[in-house]
Amino acid sequence: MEKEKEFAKIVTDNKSTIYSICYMYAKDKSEIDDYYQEILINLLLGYAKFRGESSISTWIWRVSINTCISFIRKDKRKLDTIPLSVNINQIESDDHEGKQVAKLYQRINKLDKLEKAMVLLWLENMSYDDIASVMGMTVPSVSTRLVRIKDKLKQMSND
Amino acid sequence: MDNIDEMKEQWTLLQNKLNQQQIINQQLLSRTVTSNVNKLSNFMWIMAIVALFVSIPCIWLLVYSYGFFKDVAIFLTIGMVLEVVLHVYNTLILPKASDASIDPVAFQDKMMKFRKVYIANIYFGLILLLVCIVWSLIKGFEMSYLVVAGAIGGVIGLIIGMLLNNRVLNNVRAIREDAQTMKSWKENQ
Repeated sequence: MEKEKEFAKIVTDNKSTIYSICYMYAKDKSEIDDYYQEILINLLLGYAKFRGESSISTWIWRVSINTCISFIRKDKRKLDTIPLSVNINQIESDDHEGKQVAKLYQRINKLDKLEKAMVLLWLENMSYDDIASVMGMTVPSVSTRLVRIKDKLKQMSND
Repeated sequence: MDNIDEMKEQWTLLQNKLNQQQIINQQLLSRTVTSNVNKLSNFMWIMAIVALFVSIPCIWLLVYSYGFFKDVAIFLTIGMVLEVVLHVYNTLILPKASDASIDPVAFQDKMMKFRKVYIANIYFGLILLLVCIVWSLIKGFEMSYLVVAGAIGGVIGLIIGMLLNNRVLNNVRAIREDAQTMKSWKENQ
């Protein structure tokens, strides 16, 4: 029970991070909840084996990004319960902030799955060591790739 | 502003907007619990009314039959009345949906009590059915048509009962899970 409480608290504390990742990977709004549920399942399954070798937030990022990269949409049976969905209309509202978020979504969605993961980790202000740990790369490789991705993003905004 | 810096700002905006969403989710969850509790309550009352209608043939049999059939009718009528009384009591102890957000611990305890009484009611019904089967086999052995009719009726009743019980218990499980989430949120605040 203690472990369950601990897990519920971790999920609650990192909910916005998980949803941000889902939002950036989802092709349409209805896919966000599917991603979220899949990530929660993987987090729950992995939590028992989590030994604390990395920080909890790095681990959550790793599981979430791996889930989104390897995600295949399944036809899930509708449950009686209403999923804890976010109100996307409020996120992509017509005000200045909403437009900015939509702009970010458009930019990031022009990248491929791996590039997307690296940009999200970089936006989260993670160190190159942590990005390397999440992505399973070496630090020099992270640095080189990030430079290329940043160039690509600059190029996109110039076009 | 550099577009990379702009992206960082946009990312922070997204995170802030998502952080505000918890309130909406709590409201959504509270609405789900209310809707599920109301559905369960309505379903329980409908089941009680249906059980009362089912009692009518038992009472009819009680009045117009004699011998073995009269004994069966007395047994069935008493059994049905007890079942209905227990069922109505069970419906009345169903907690109010509003308790889930006000006092989730008490709500969980009440839901637990509701579930226990409901399961006790199922066992009581199964015992009645078992007694009926054994009795019919012993007393009505000579009347094979009675055994066959009773067996068919019993199987149909058992299937309907299992489906209804499954629905109620699934609903109770969903309510308890949602209430547990609300409780965790409240504790974490």
